[in-house]
Amino acid sequence: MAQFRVTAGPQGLLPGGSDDAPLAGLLRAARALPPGAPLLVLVHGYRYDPASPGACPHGSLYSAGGWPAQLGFGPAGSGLCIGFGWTARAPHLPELLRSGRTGFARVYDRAGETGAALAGLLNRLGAALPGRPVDILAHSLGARVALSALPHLDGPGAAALGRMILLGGAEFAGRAEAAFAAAPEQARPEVYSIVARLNDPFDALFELFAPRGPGADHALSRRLPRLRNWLALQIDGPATRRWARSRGIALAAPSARVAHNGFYTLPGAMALYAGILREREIFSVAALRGSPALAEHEPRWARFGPLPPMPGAGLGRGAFRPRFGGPRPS
Amino acid sequence: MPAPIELHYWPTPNGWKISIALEEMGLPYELHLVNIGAGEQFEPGFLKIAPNNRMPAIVDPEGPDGKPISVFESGAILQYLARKTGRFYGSTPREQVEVEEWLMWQMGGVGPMAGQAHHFLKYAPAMDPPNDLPYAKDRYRNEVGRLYGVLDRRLEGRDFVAGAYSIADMAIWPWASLWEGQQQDISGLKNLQAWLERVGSRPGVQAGRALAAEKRNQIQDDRKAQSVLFGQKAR
Repeated sequence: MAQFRVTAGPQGLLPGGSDDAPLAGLLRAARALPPGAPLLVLVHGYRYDPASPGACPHGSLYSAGGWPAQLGFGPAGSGLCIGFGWTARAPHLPELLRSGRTGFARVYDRAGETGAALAGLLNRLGAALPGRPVDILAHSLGARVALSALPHLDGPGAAALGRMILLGGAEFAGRAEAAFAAAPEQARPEVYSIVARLNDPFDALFELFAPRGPGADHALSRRLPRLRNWLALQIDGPATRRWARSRGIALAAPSARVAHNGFYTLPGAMALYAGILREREIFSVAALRGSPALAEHEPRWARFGPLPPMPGAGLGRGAFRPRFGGPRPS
Repeated sequence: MPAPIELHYWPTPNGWKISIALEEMGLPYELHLVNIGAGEQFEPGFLKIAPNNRMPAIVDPEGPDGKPISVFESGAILQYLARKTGRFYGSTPREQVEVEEWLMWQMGGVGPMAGQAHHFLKYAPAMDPPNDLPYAKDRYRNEVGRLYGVLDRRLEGRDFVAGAYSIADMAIWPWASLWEGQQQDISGLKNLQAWLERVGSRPGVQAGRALAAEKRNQIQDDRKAQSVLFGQKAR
């Protein structure tokens, strides 16, 4: 089986659905992986909930035709994918009445707590499979889950952590730095922080509604954490598209101005992440830092500006005088 | 509809040359994976097709005389497929010479030098015990850099290396697209950068590059694959 599902809950880590094998089966499958085949944990973001049929990530993002297949998991020897489910939604009104804050803020806190359950999974994988890297691909608040796992890792779990691909990570740069500072010394993952101008409004909303406190400075898309092995890559930038195309990856231009799921729905994006998981040397952080194109990021709000100038703006004082070309008379 | 060509393949730069060519030429093919890390290139059935125990290789059930023919060596396969289809090989004897020059430049230069660069820069240092050889690393890194300089100058004012898009481009692109792993700095090689993007944007190249991409795993962490690939003796 190329795919397993687990769910974090009050009782700890459980199989994701009735058809899934218990964790012992997962570890058996992981031990049987061919050398070099990727072992990946997927972590969804806000508004998914394994307990809710309409919002269950196991039946959508993690389903056979979802993220695993798009990342090349499925054929024999193609690796093992683990869908990690957690309760990522909370109603706004009761939370507003109870604490005066949004349901999002509550889910943000829960994401931090869920990091311990993810760390438990990584620790078990690390102990059972010494020497095999375990990668993580996390979207939005799933990135906070992944980063919050770092302080809870034990030695084998930390040593196992390979690559973290954070899609539109809904976390503050300062808190990412704090998570790394609290992680065991063996934790040296390569982090690919995928940012997008498509996500600018969501980053702004995140900064507005996420709980404040120590480390709450700027979203990961706005400030690069001062961390070794951290690479920020703008998935919807023209320079990144050129760079991907020169490697034969058909990364498309976005067709919308705003999309929170563009990180995985933009054609070609998942092929690029599959490369990061499978072509370890070519797509290492060190190698990609040598690509000047990837350092070219568009400014924030680039999808919304610059606004076209008002007709006649700057021509005279208060008088509207249309301009038909040629230099402006001095 | 012609009978499908058997493609004996693993997703490496030499394998991509042929998957790209088949996609570009619109030829039907049947994929036969040759897991080089598991030693499948040494199986007797494959050695009958490719006596040098290297993929890629092809078997065309409809050879030039109507009978099946097998072809090994990626350069020879590219020439065979181009002759079979009459495409991507120039249209005059002069143009064909140009294509052959750059195809052979790849076969004798970029392929072997970049291959050795990959070996000494990535695989050898990860062996147990490590073989970190500064002279070998410098030698192949520099030689690849020199070749990319030649290519950049050749591409000045040209879209492709030999006239129109040809099998020479198909041969060079798979290796040159991996310049980061060869520890190259191509920031000053603007013609090369533009050509990498131009060729990489072609749907046929993208489809060929993506063939069995899920099998591209890291060999430097696979001791068995290292033993199979790098432990071969003279006989």
